[in-house]
Amino acid sequence: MSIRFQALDEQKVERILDAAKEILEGCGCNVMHPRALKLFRDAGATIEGDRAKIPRKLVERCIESAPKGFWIYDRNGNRAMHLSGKNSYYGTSTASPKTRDPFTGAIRETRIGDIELGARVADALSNIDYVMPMGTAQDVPAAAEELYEFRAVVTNTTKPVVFIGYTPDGVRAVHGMAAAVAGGEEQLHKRPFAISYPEPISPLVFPGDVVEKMLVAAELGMPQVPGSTVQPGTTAPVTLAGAVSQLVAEGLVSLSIVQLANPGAPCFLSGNLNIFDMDTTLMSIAAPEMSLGIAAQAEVARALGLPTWGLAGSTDSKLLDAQAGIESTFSILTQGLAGLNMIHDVGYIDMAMVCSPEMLVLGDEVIGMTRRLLKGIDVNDDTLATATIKAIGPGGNYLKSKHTLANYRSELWFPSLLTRKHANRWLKEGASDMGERIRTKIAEIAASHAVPALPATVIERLDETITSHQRRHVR
Amino acid sequence: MNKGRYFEEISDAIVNLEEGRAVELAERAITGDMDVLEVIEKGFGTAINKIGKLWETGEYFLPELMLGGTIVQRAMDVLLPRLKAQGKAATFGKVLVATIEGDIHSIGKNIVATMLSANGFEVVDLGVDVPVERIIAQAIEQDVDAIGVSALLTTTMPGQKALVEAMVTKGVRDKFKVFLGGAAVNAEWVKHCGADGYAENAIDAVKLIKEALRGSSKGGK
Repeated sequence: MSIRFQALDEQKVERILDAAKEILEGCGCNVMHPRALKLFRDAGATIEGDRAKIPRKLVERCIESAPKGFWIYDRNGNRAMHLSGKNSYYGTSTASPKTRDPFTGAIRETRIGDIELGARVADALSNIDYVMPMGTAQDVPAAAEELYEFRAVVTNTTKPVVFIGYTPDGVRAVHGMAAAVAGGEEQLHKRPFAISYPEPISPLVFPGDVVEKMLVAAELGMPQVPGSTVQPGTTAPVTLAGAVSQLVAEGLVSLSIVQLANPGAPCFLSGNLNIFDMDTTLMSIAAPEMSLGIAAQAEVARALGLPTWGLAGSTDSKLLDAQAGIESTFSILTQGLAGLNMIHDVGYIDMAMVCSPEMLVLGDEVIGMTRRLLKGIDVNDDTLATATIKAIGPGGNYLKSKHTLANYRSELWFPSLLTRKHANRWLKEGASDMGERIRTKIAEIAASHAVPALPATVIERLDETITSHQRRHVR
Repeated sequence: MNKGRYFEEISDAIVNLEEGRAVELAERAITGDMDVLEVIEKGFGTAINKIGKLWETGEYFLPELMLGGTIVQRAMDVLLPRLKAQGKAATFGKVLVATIEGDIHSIGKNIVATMLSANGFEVVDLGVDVPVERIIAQAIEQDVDAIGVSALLTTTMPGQKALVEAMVTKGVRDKFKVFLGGAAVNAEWVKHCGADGYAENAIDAVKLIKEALRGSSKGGK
């Protein structure tokens, strides 16, 4: 691929990485987990209370033992995403308490049915590569929330799943459910389709339960994508260089925990960067600095050969308006150009407080355009078409040319929702705007998109896991 | 030769855009002494309809339509001498097309011309930058049913009005239907010029002209 956006040059990458290591050595982080602290101490870190100061050598050993890129599979065990280099994959938003109902336009609390619909819509969209539960269900028992959410997703898509375990036991239980779907633990281990997403707290705090979730996934060999969130000026320096170096440092701590627990366990060097708005005092999910900063973080991770994580296709707007279109396009395009591996959050509106299937469908169209751009321009004898130009000649017509017929489908992108109709036809067909067309598409998917059902025995296993988990954990 | 199967074969060859095969099958109609009108109707006609359906369902786009149209033209070239020898006409009508004087943008006119040919019209293409007098003289001389005149630029569009006015002056306005083409042409402009219609794309143009000439073409089919 030739068309790229680069936030940093090699020297800046080096300086940021060096600063990250300096943060870990000189400041350290709080690891509120005795076993993890012991792992760090035994590996050469200085421990005072919860504070772990981590020497460069230790971090470098952990970077070395981490796998440099790996495959993620789909529910059926087929290769789906090669998390390496500049391969970009886009996934849904997640974990919001509220949902914008695509049928009524109401913003209301998220229900398990929303997560099922979100997964089914994502399954039907050709540019969405993996699925996260679109929201946190408010209508299922809290004791087994992530289990219900995983069930809702895995029964409504065959695409890879990224999930948030709310407790360490929840992570373990979801792993068991994923194994049931994959046909056993060994199968799942060989062809992982589920990724755990633990979230440490910036700046540099690793709560006990978060660390435990990382250890559980590490010991199970389950891929994980740790995501602390830095907000320049509040939970990180306001300068992007400082915020990015802190984010890299936090990612390296997570990576180190995973590698110390189980060397070679798959883990991203990842994190989130969102902009705290100094005017409204709220967190934006669509600022230009977000895409710039996360692209820079990813460039550092990529320099180490480690898989990267992005966040795009989200908006601060409360509805599907021009702002939503601007913000979705800006982040999807720039992060695609930056070559981030797994880009999540397609579908957020209202500053990540609300998941919206409409916003997801909008993003799918933008990703299509972005991917056409990223495909770039092939230059060879056939694409130069000099022979065809000579044959057609001045004043000629390429529409009848076999060269056109042979190439136009691969060369030209076809929109599925953007209108290119004659104005009169568009008027005659109801003068729809983008939002209306998106809602029609969602209604069609809801009515007719079929996802292959899991075998009844597997569904039974999932339900048993949920029931027994719920019995053991009353929250 | 089984006729039903033959019509299916030649139709499939056109729909699948196999030019060599379509021409070869057309030649077989001549050597097999088949009713060429029936070949055109049941073979070509079916194929054109199928291609139109594939376009409507989004499986075919303009390049397929254009190539399909070209293949029909090539196959038709094989049958035409026989048809003429039999003194039969095989068109929905004869349409003269041109871009108006001052305008050399030809792609829109060319697309319409190809689609008309493919759909069984005889097309007289006068090319680009054609003066009004020449259009009228040729329409009379070639005894066409309709005139399609294209103007992309708003600066050349007045030529379309001038054409209709000149036809009125010469007393030949009623002899030919007049259709206007060009990106800026709309219903108001057609009315303002006193023309007979316009279409938003080449496929609709064929429908429009077919409808307008139904039962009135001099070619008489």
